[in-house]
Amino acid sequence: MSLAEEHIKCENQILADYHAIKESLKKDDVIICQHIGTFNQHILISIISLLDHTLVQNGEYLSIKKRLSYLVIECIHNIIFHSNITSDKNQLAYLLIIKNELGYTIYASNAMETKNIVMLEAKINDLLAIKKSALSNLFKKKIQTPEINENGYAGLGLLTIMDKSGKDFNYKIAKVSQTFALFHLEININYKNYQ
Amino acid sequence: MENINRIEAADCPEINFDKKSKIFRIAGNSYPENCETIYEPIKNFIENYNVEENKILNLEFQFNLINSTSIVYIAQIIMKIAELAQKGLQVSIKWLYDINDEELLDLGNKLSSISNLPFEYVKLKEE
Repeated sequence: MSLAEEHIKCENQILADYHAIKESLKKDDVIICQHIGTFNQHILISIISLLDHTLVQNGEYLSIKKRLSYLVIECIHNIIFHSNITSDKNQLAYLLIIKNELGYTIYASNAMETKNIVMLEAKINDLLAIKKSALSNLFKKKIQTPEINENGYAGLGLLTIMDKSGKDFNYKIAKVSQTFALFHLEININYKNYQ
Repeated sequence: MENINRIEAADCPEINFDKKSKIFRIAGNSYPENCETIYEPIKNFIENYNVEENKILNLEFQFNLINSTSIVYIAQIIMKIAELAQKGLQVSIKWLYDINDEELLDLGNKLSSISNLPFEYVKLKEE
């Protein structure tokens, strides 16, 4: 299979996953925001602005509003910095923010190269092995000895997502072709933790 | 040591580092795509701060949303200030936050703890 064919397969899979999530929503679930395709800083700013406007209209607690915004920023930066780019410079990724009876759920997914699966799984498993209460201290330790890459990015997104979600999240890495896999994140922000 | 004045944007804070007026302030959202371009000038400003000529440094932080990489840069800036404090600089840091924003208060506590610099916490009423 050529690289272009692998891209198409990956694109089809990400579209299928995106529609499967939307079809699985309950009657009263509300889509707050949805975006599929390429992400960049302008799109992030627009999504944060939309989110802020909607949550203010919904009369949400400041703590929920902030928590959701922090998580969305880290998810989208994760996509911008780590998502695979197709040969025509497009990203294969989506973000969905759903309001449901328990609170909010963020679904984020992006294409990645299969050669990075082992490294990503090891990173996630290391973080999952840490107690919820110790994540905040780990963050404190990490900001004193950061590893900033050539893009000026500190790579603390996953740790922040785990810390701020209180580990209330699911993830899946699904291999789509020889070169590409999809990294899915489902993060829950539950009302019961904020009242 | 050049002054730094940067107008606030949706994802970048207002930055005001003015030697003459002695205002050193960072306020607003901070989740830029490249934190280095925003915060390296401040790191340089602090590195070149002449403790002999300027014995006092009053700094004010008033963040709204801040991403993890911005936090790393702010931590580096505060740790550089802590080094100057050990050389005799009198440092005052105000940390302003919305009254219900416990996450920002917690971040202030973390930054104060890693630098051993006391922060003055100022609660702001939610708009």
